[in-house]
Amino acid sequence: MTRGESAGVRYRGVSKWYGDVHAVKEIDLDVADGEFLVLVGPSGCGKSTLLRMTAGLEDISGGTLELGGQVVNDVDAAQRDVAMVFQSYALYPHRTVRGNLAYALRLRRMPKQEIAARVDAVAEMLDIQELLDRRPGQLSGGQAQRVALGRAIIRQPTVFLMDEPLSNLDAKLRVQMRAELIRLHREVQTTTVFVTHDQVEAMTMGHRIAVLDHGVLQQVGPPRDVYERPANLFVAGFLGAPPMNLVEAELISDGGVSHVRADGVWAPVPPAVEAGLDQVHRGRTERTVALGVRPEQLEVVASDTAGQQPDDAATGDVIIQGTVDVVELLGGESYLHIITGTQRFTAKVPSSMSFDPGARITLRANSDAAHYFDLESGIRLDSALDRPALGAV
Amino acid sequence: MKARLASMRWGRRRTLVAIGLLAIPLAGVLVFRIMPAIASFALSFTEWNLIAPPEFVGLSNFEELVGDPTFWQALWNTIYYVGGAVPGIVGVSLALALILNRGIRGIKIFRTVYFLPVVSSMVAVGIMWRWMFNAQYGLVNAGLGFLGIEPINWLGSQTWAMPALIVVTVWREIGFYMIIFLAALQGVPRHLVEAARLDGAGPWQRFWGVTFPMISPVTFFVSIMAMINTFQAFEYMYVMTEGGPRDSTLTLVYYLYLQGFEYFRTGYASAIALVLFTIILVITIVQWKIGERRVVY
Amino acid sequence: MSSTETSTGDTPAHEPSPHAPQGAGSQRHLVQPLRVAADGVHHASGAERVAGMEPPPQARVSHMQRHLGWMGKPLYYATLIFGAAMMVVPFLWMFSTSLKVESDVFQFPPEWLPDPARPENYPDALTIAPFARYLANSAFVTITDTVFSLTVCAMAGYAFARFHFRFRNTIFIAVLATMMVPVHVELIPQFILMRGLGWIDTFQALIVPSIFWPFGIFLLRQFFMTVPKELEDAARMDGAGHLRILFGLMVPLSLPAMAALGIFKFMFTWNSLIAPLIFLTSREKFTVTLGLATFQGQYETQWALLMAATVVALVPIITVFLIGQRYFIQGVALSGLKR
Repeated sequence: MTRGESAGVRYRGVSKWYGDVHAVKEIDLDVADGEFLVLVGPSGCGKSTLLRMTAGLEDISGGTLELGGQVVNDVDAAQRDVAMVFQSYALYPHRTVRGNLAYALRLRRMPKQEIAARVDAVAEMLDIQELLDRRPGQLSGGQAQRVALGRAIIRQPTVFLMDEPLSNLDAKLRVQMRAELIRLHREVQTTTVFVTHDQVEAMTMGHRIAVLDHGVLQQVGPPRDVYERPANLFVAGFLGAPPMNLVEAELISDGGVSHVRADGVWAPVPPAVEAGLDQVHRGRTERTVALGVRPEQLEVVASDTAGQQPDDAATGDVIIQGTVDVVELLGGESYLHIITGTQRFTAKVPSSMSFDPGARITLRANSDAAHYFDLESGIRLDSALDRPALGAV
Repeated sequence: MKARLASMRWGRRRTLVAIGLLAIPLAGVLVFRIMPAIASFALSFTEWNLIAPPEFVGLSNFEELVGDPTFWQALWNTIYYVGGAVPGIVGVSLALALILNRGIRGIKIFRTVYFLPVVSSMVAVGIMWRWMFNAQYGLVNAGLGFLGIEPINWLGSQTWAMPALIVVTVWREIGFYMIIFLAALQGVPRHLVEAARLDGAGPWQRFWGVTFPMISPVTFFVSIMAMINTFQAFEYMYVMTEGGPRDSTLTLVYYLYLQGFEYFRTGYASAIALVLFTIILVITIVQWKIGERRVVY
Repeated sequence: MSSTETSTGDTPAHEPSPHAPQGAGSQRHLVQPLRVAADGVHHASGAERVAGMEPPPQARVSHMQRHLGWMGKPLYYATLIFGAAMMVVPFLWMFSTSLKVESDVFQFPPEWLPDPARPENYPDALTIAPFARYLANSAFVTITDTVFSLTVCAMAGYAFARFHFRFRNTIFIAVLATMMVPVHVELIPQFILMRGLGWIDTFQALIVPSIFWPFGIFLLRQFFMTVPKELEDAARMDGAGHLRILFGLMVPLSLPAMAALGIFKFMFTWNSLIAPLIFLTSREKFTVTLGLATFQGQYETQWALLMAATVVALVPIITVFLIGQRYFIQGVALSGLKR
């Protein structure tokens, strides 16, 4: 199958109003030609609306949308040359698989032979040749999914839009289709915007991911960057399973090493964070921040460490001391739920280690595993100086 | 601000499509349904023979109606007819549906046979049954004679003409309502019946305890539908008895037809129409009121 | 075993109602093991009685049902067959009479087999009154009415189901309200209207008012509302316009409703008497119902001839029914369930 013309997508201040509800708030985003971008966020965050606006299924209330350099705000869905894969697949129940694939081409009055050739090519590509004469009702979920993909691919559109296409599949198939989609994209190289609420999909599939919450674009970047340097509290809490441990802690700079402290928690604070806090907290006196540590970065230093104080450990590491509450065994690893006074932590540890509930325990993490956020605006403090605007809406 | 304008533009485009889709249907409904309904109301306050210009006469049509024994006779006849036909239709069709729902072999054949009269026009059915009810040579009397019953002059007797028409009505309609009941019965969750059986309920208790409550909304709906339809009876009377003998089968619609299209008293006929409309409206409202209370399970 | 158990396997499977296509199969699976279980209980109860124990209540019930089942089944069949005979006899009697010599009609007790048979009653009836013409008129009026009516109802139903515009609900309720007005109430103004339009004694007078059918609009709107929005979006992305979405997607997906409506319309218009009676004046425009009614007015007591004419009038619609019965019955079932 030959590759169609591909095109980039450019959002400039794109907004959506439903009456007085501002569902999508002035999104600025560039999707490069050929890129696979994942739009991720909790349900109701506006990601589907943004996608439907891109498709032309919703009108754009404000800002401009460009496809391949052309403003298409007022171009009808059919004329935008984009194809969409729907969550429910939306296959036409009264047409055969062949009919579903060919429908768009027939509407474009493509010669019959060419349609047949394209149907065959797509069927082969997706390995659905033997399904061509069935109706959607006779397909399994995975098969229907492939047909839905085929219906988008066959048009050779400039952009693919996918609205949670894997969410109706069972877990095993989902993993399989994920890989298949990545392979397909490598093959056709068409710009793809993929919407999901599943952070695993987001992490594994996209060149870049764009995190959306409450209609606001929170962060855009390669998955690793976003995971390792979440731009704000929301992104930090949203990506990662189990989620990042986030606790409220007080920043103490008493001449020695600046650090934060909370019940059973001690962590060093790099200068960039402090500078960021000064910037954000201009004019305020309280010095409370949110400290975040991912569960997989915590390691067990000593079990049964009763009596020690966390600030004794002047190693420059993040130290957490508490009591084991629950141990969840997952196979190769365990989730350790720890209580430190008023806070709760989760740590991901090898399942070879065993713990008794109620045992005292000390955990550590490297200093660079600590993320600091402003409690109020949610901004990541060590980058507050360069990007003060983000998240502070 | 600009944002709102753009969305209005798009909205207006969709509105245009909607107007395009609705223009013909709505114009038609307005001209051929709503306007005549209103006109009928207005006409009932006039005297008009379709030739001279209509004349406003206020309530005099209704005054005349109140004093018109034929009207009262027609109203009574209609109620008699409805009162006889509706229980017959509902009872027989429900019974048949219950039997058919018991895993009868050849259900398809029975369904087809019972449905045959439904597709046959009332005119044809009426003519057919006029022959069946023939006093001297009709099959009905032959059958009754077999049981030792004296021949009855069905359509020629003031006593028997209306029962005969009721029989014909029930005969033609049961197939239709039976299908509706059958569909409803098949919608009764099997597990409920099974549960009742495990609780030790016999067939009779299972029917009154489980099945009947489940299909009572349909029974109610079917009764109302049958009532509204039978209130407008006209064809059998036109074909079989011409409202006779001595107005004993004259119904409201037949009387309306006579006044409007035989005597050309359109105002008076419209007054009858208004009475008919009021009756049907009351039934509909009662249906809503009761339906609200008890339909959902 | 008892009747109820066998019933579950049979009844739903015969008529896959459009709403529960999967129900029938799964119920059947559920039922089989249950039947075995009930049987087991019964045998156990026998053993217990031998051992002098009180059988458990379930066993008693199943025993009683077994008893009733034996009694009930033949009774059911007898009732159904008797009823079926009551349905068919008038038709057979009509047919028998239609083949008789006029003088043989008046025999008491009646004879079932015409002797001598006189099939000439049919050509006679057809020459005395132009029944072929009547049938053609009916066919034209009915088919035109049905096709246009479905189209109009689909358009309006789609607009009400899927478009948002001002006063939508008000307009929709106004349309619904006309459903409550009996046709007979509107007869006189409609007659006046037709006279004003110069449509008296034309087919338009029968067809046009009948096209605008509030119930049809209502039912299709209900159906269209159940079509998933994403399908419509997909069609839009594929390049379909509104009319194509309507006729290429909504209508095919609402086929049960369309079929039901079409059949109702067909039956109703074909069998309608009052509209032709009022609007038509010249004989060559008569529909078959009006033609038959008029024919009986003239040949009131020539029963053989009259029955032949009635058979002629009935054959087409009964043929249509026998061919499309599945849709007739589904349609009726649907109209009962959908409200």
